[in-house]
Amino acid sequence: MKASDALVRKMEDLGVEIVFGIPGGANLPLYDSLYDSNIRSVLTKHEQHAVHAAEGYARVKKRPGIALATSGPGATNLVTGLVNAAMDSAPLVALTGQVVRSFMGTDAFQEADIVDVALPHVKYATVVLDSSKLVKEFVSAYKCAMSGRPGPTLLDLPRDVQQEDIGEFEGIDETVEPRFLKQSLPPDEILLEKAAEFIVEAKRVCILVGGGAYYSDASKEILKLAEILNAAVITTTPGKTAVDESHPNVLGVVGMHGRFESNLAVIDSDLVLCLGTRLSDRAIGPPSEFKKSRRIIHIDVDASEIGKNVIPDVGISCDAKLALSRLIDILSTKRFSPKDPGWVLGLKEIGRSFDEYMFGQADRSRLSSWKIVKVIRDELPRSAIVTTGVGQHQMWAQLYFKVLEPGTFITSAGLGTMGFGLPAAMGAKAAAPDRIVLNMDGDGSFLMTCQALGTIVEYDFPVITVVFDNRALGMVRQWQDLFYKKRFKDVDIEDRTNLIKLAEAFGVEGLFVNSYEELRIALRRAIRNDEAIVIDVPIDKDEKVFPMVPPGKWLADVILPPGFSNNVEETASSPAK
Amino acid sequence: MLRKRLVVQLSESYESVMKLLLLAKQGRLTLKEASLKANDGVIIADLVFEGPPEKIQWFMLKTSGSPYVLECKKIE
Repeated sequence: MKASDALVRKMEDLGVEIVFGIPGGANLPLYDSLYDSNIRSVLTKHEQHAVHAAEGYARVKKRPGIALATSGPGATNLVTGLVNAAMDSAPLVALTGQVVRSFMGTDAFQEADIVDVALPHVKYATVVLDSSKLVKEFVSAYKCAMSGRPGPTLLDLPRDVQQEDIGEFEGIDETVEPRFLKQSLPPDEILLEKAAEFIVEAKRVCILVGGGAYYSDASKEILKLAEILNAAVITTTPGKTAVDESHPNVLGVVGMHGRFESNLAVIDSDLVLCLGTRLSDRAIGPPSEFKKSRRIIHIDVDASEIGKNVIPDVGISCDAKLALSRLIDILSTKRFSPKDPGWVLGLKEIGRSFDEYMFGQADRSRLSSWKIVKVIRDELPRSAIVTTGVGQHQMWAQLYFKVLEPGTFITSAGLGTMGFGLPAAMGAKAAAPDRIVLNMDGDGSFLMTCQALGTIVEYDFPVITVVFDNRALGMVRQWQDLFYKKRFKDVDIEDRTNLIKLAEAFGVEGLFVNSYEELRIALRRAIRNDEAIVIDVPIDKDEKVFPMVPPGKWLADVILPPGFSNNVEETASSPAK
Repeated sequence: MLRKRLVVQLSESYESVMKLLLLAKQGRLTLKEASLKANDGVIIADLVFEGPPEKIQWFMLKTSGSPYVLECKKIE
């Protein structure tokens, strides 16, 4: 049997149902093997689309997505997506073609050392030089992508390795070495006891939920613990998808562009329980301030995250769900006076007054972004999956779009990859064809990967795209406005790109809307018919994302929308010190 | 700043060695001494690093979690 035939057989056995990629000279044997397989292959317009689509798929299915590319430029085009997946701990396997073994190291046509390029960022990468080990290497890479903290892996496959005869399929050793299966150990009971003691002593507990909590499926345990402790649940950007944000204890995203009440919760807390998060500066501000005046308990499946950015009072290396279940058990044996439920209620009230203030603002020359987000939330079913690009629209989405079911918000958080939204939406739709998938995008972000519309039509992945169109790189413009004395440089897009005609050129309906009602009607139709559409919504380029904590500053140094801070002092007893 | 000697058992591949050194670079550790020996499918890396204690700790935990690494021991 040909090695690539055996590989495809094994992929089928492992449940791989779809791959995203582009064929080329160096991966033709693999594509030839896919010809006779039940695995659906999606030909993307660019390898970056393939790897983002694989990530979108993986985030919905919670199992590795597969991206294929040929050697040289095909492989190097995957790199942004691989780093994106690494930063957001998303499981995927990239299979790249490579020139034949005898040509390796000769600067042959389309030769690039993709393993060395990718190595700093992936969990595992290797060149498979022995065809008899191809299947085993794939099984290892596949399992490795999912075990412990998820992440990307890469196998580089010389063309002659793929097509070599390896004998009978059944005879291949497929056992995975333990080093590829770094499973979570049970939580340390002594550390859990210590954590429980601190929690009992605390008066105002915040539970900071990161993306790891989503992969751990810890939503129920988080909300249960929050109810027991009357705790405030706040999330990082990747953690937003882990909990139902309509739950009374959930305040929303924290950090640089976090919800005002979430940032206040951290400021006023005396203990933060951090789950499955690397505690990035975007979420917590300066670590020294974060650590000051409160105890920190950090639970993460990746032991190396504990103490990396913040040295916790208690650090537990364990899967979040497993640790929380035990923690809840231990707390049930302890007597402690109930924490004040008024604390979270007060914070919620501040959040409500913030929303009231924002939604009460008159529109400027164009539609207001947060109101657009609200219309989208109102119209989408609970189970709909939302992806985003990167920029201001992403921050408006994280501030105002409430996740109602875990796993329904997919964004590029760590790397901040513009252009992520549309191909990720395509992958999400492939994973969940019966659910509505909507991509919230900015015009700058959308134009980076808009050719994915062609694939969306060809393979019938009806994705709705709403473009927040301000003809600017809005977030960069906001920074130039606030921190560079309005010296706007290369942020205003003065082109005449017609997004409607562009969508139509790919065979997708394009629609310009100029009111919330028109947007509502367009969304209803697209949702009812489950059809692809690009809705172009004009917004004002001077509109800013608020709240905003300036880079390097503590959460208390937040910039609020003009006029709101006085409003808070008058209407709410702010818990901020 | 601490100076620590670590002995790391790696799977026998160039990628293993490169990943190990990339992690040290990521942790901003200073490599003071290094010796590598390949034997029976395993590479033994004997390394002396200098760096803040928390970074050395991070490096040990990170390498221990890597599929390239079979074992990471702090010697002195």
